[in-house]
Amino acid sequence: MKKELPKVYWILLSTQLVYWGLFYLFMNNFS
Amino acid sequence: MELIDWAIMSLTLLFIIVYGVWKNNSHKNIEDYIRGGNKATWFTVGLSVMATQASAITFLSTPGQAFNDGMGFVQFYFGLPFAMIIICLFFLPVYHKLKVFTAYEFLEKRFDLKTRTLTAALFLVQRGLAAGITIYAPAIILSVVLGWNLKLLVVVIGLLVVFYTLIGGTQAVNVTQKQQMIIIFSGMVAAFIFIVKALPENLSFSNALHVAGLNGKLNVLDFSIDPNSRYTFWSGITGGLFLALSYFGTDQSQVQRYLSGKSLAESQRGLIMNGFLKIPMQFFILLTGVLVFVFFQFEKAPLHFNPYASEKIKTTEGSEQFEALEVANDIIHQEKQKQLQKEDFFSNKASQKKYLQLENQAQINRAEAKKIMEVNQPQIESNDKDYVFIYFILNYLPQGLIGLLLAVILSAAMSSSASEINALSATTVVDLYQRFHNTENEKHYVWAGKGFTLLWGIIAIAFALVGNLFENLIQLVNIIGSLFYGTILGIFLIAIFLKSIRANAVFYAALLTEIIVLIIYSQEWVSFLWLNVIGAVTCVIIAQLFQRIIK
Repeated sequence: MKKELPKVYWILLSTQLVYWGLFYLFMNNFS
Repeated sequence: MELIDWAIMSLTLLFIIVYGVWKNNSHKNIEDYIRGGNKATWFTVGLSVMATQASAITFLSTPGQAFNDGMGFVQFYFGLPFAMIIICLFFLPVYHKLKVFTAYEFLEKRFDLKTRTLTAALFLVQRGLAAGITIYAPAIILSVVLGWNLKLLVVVIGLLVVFYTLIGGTQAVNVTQKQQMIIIFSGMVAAFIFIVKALPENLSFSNALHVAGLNGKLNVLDFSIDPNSRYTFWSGITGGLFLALSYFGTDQSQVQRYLSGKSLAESQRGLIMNGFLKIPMQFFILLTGVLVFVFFQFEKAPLHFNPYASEKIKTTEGSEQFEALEVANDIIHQEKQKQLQKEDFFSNKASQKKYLQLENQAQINRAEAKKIMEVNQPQIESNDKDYVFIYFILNYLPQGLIGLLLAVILSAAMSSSASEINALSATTVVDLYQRFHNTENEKHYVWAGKGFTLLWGIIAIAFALVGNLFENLIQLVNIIGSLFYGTILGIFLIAIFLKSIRANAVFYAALLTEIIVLIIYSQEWVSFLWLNVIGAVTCVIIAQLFQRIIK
């Protein structure tokens, strides 16, 4: 079993931060 | 609905089914039938996983959810990408190494036959019930708004799904889901573009979003820890994570999708694709609902979006009250226009305040109308959330696009129920039938698979036919899921992560956990969303204790 996180998993994880950040901006920009 | 809509809808659905069956109708053995001969690329796996989860209710209910409560629902999916990574790292390699056909098969290799059979049986009960609802839920809505015969619609959708699932097995399900997702994506994008275009000409997209924001519809993130707010960031990354782990990691209707992948890496990529796309997709569907809300700020909205319920109430004693509210909301609508049309509306705080007061009164009237309905016609569902989007589609979309959107809804219904029936059949054959009926003849099991596909299809249709006995369907599917999911996830978490725990400890822990979960549910101590987390954690703890006692 691979214990090390390959690159794509890190990209997916960091994408979540990007999504949350974008949602935050989106929400604050229009309300 | 015009002829062109009928033509587009029927031809789209027919093409998908015929293509699916034509491409895949020969199966040498059960591996071909259940794992689709392991031919699926990551793209097919990813689309198939997404199509399975996206049921018709996703497209009918989610925009309505955003229309009423805003976009906070997207947070419920925040745990999903994390679940995808955990499944790719820990669940998938095990399934792949042991070359299992079903997730439950792994449990016999890890524990014993009784644990496998128990888990498979829990899945069959839960998914067997849900499969009926997957067909019933869109059928009831479409029959109400289009005047179609409900029972006939249920039977037609059900038989079409059984037809291609039975003949083509997993591969036909995968292939049709690919086409269905293309239809679903293009239909939703077309609807989105149309809504944006249908907004008043002098209203920019950015100002449309400001209108939504003023009404609190764009509150995507909620960091509060109030247990009464159902969808928060925290419940999303905890409860949502557990739910996604259960659903994608242990539910055969999903496991079967990625087990059909060409290789371990292809299956993993498919799941990762789902991890990337799911949240933007839900965001986009919710945003569509929010734009429908904005649209109805400028266009007169009905007091209640279920046309059948609105018509019926006028034949009861509540008629006068209901009509008075309709008149009141019409006046409010005119008043709102006076504010919204002001040139400086977006900078004029006083005007915005006045508008919000009016909108608030309109919402109060809508809630009052629902109460009148509950009192005067208790047998009809008063919640019109599921009817908002379909009302918009039927009344405001151009000809042709209506047919395409109906094809979207029916495709979504069919893609989900095909996966369900396909998985129910696979589990029955592999975990029960094959286990107790040995034969060298591979073809025999293929035929058994087809037989059980037919049987589960008939059960789903039969259940859908009596679906009107249950209210609030999406809730019901979720509740059924939450009652069993936690325990099943607990068993799998132990199997994968806690090597010291053996068969008997886990089996009796699972039984005890299920009893505890049912008690908690019947006493209504927590929201059903949390039953899943409670079930999984309880199962792990009790199994640990039992294992120590047995030692």
